[in-house]
Order: sequence, then structure tokens, then C-alpha cells
Amino acid sequence: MFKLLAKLEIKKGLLYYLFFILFFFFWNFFSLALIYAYGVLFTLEKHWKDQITLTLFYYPKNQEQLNNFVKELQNDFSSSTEKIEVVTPEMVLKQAQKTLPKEITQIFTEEELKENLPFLIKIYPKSLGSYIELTERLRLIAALTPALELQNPKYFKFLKLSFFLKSGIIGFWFSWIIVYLGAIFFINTLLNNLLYQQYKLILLLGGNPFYLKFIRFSFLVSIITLGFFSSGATFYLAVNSLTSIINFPLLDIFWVNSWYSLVYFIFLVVLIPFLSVWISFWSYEI
Amino acid sequence: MEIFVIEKVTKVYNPYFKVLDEVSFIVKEGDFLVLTGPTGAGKTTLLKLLYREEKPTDGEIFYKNLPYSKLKQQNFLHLRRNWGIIFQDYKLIPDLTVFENIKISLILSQKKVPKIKFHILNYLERFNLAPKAFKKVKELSGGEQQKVGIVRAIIREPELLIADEPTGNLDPESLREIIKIFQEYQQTGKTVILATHDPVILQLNAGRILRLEMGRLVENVQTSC
Repeated sequence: MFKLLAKLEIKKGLLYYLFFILFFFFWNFFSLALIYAYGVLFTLEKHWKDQITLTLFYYPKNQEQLNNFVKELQNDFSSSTEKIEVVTPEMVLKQAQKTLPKEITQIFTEEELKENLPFLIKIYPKSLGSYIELTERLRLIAALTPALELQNPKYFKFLKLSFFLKSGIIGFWFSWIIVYLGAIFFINTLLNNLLYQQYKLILLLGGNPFYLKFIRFSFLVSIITLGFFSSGATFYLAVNSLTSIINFPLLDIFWVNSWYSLVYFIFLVVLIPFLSVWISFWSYEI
Repeated sequence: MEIFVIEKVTKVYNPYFKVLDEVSFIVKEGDFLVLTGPTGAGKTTLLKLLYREEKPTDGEIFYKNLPYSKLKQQNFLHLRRNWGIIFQDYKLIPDLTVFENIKISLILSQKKVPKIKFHILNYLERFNLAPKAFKKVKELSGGEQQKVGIVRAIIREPELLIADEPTGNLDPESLREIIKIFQEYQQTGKTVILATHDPVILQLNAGRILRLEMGRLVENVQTSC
């Protein structure tokens, strides 16, 4: 039974199945490249996130002004900061003494130096998004407050670019998924139209639509699996070659061994074909 | 026992085109019913309603007292397994061989047949089709294809045989042969519903004749069988 139905399916649909393998090969290759790019940015951000702090140089008139300013910062930025630290001029001087040129220590006394040094307010952002938001807001505050200066944020341009690139990749990947959904629904509809007379006959002879769905699903899963592993292997080889050229362990970043790969596989190879087959046979009621 | 009760069945295709107009009749178990009438009278549509390829616009069809409107697709799949349907356009699968076309029908009927190959070839032999058993259907003539369609239906030994113009492409000798097979089949207690406008079949006085004209039932005659 299944052998005969499979024979019919393959006779009518072979060419379209071959096209679909080809489509899926390139689709999956590009999809892996997008995920890989996301992975690289994610890892780099993770690496830098621990090092990113925002430092304000503050020259208050007195201790009370400093306390009020820190309190204000804590209230205003509580949702985006992990903690705020204040480094006193004494501590700054202590840290700087080892590197200060001798001429300066000879000209100025310790007290004079302390008077001219600022308080450092170190702000630890909660996330990269908070870092970008805080930087923008603190830049504005520093511009409006003469006693305040914002230290040039580290890697700001790169991190900002990475943040937007990551969002862009997620957005693009979802659009890319729609291309896949469109293609799989297209091939199902096309094959249903091509095989309509045969399917109708099978149902009129007492056949169960389940047989037809099962055959289609099996074919789709087989060819998508084939496309999945061949494009995956090609992508792996490509990245591996790149690794040896630039001498950087690029593949360490890729989540090959994590459960993400399993979710990705089940989603693309099992879940979407299953849904597309079931939906495309919705109207097959004779 | 009543196999079919057709109650005021109307079928309208869009745009407004009434093919059947309040048709009512009863088919009893063991009947040989000949539906006749000119082309476009609604014979094929009426058969399609019986095997549920189409749904009526109005009215009700009962199969063994079960109303069609209350049955689900799954129920029809089970019913069709016990029916043999011969289609006007044969509905054979051109890419499969004669043998495969018949095998698929036999498997779908879920009848347990030992030595399935022997069984099919035996039936094909009766219709002089055995030498062409492993040829593709598209390589056969119209008459041969029609015979394959008939074998595909009767090999299931169904309790109900529905045949739509089953002799359109057959020579007079084959036609008599087929009608004889149908009559023998009916004599085993099975029900046959046959649609035709072939005067030769009508002259054979095969069974009860229902005449349709312009979608209306105009004659219901019992002939000697």
C-alpha cells in the first residue's frame, strides 16, 4: 500500500523534491551563517560585558552635594544599573601615585593633589542595552553639568554596533524563516494539485487521508534531513577552513553540541513539515 | 432491507444551475437499478451524491437508515471500503500498471485475500486482460481501460456496486458480457446501481429503471430481470 503510494508520490514529485533539497541546502547554509554571526557577537559581548563600566569624574563643592548626586543617580537609573561605586580622591591618588611622574609630586603636595582630583563615580550597567541607554543619558547630563565629566566609554561604538547587528540578525532570521515556510507550503500545495486526481481516487476507494499525509511527511522529512546534514557539513568545513586561515578558534563559538542544535533541528525538520502537511491537507475531504 | 432512501434531493451548482430537483426513490438490498435519461439529466451527479463525492444542496440520503448529513468523513471511508465504484472517466492511475491499479483498490478495501497476485490475474483473465496486467494503464485502449475500471470495482466483491456509464467504450459483445457479470453479481444478493443512456442495456430488461429528465425523476418502472 505505502509502497504504491510512495511510487506515485515520487513519480509526480521527484523533480520538485530535488528542487526543494537544493533550496533547503542554501537556505540552511545561510541560516547557519546568521546564527553563527549571532553567536560570535553574543560571545564577544559576553566577554566585554564584564569589563564595561561607565566612569564619571565629579568635582563636588562639598560632601553633601556628592551624596545628593549619587542618590539621584541611584534613583534615576535603578532599573538599568547593577551598582554604583564612589572612588574618593584619596583612593584615586593612592592608585595613581605609582605612575605619577616625580616632578609632579615634587611641585605639588599631597593635599594640593587631592584637592584637584575628582571623585570617580563608577556605574555598572545591568546589560548591554542598559549600557547604551545609560551612556546616552549620562552624556547629556555631563554636558549640562560643569562639575561633571564622562570618561570616554570603552568599546562603545563596537558594542553599540554589535547590539544593533544582533537585533538585525534576529529580525532577519525571522524573515528568513518565513521564506522557508513559504517554500514548504508552496511545494505541498503544488504536489497536492499535481496528485489531486490520484488522491481523490484513493479516498473514493476507501483510503484514509492519513496514508497520504504520512507519505508526504516521510518524504519531506527525509529530503530536509538530507539537505540539513549536507549543508551543515558544508558550513562546518567552510568555518573550519576559515579557522585555519585566520588562526582563531571560530568553531568554539558555535553551539554545535548544545541543545539549541536539537531544537533547531526538530523545529525545521519535524515540526514545520508536520504542520505544513497537515494544513495543506485541510481541505481534502471527499 | 432498504440500502438507500433518497428524500427530495436537490443539487444546485453555482451559478444557479439546478441539476437535480427533489429526486426521491428507494433502493432495496439486492436491487438492480438502472438510472437512465439523456445526457445532462443528472445521472452522474446523482451517483456522485450516493458515493459522496458531492453533497446535496437540499434533501437527505439515508444509507441503511443512517443519514448522510450526520456522518463524518471517517464514516464514509469505512462505507466506501464495502462499495465498488465504476467511474465514467475510469479514474485509473496512468503511471501505475493494470495490476497495481487493481491491487491498490483491493488493499484499500481491507479484504484479506490470500495469493493476491493470483487472485488479480484470475480476474483479469476473465476480461481477457491478463496479458496486459503489467502494462501501464496509459498504454491501453479506451475499452481496455474501461474493463480495468470494472475489474477494479468488482474484485473487491462489494456489497454495493455503483457503475456510471460502464459500457460507453465497449463493443456489443463485451457490453453483454459485462451486463451478464453484473446480473450474476446481483443474483448473489448484492445491490447494483447502474447509470446509462445505452438503449441496448435498457432492452436487456436488466432491472428496475429510473428515468431522469432535466434533473427530475419522470419514470420508475420495474422490468423482469
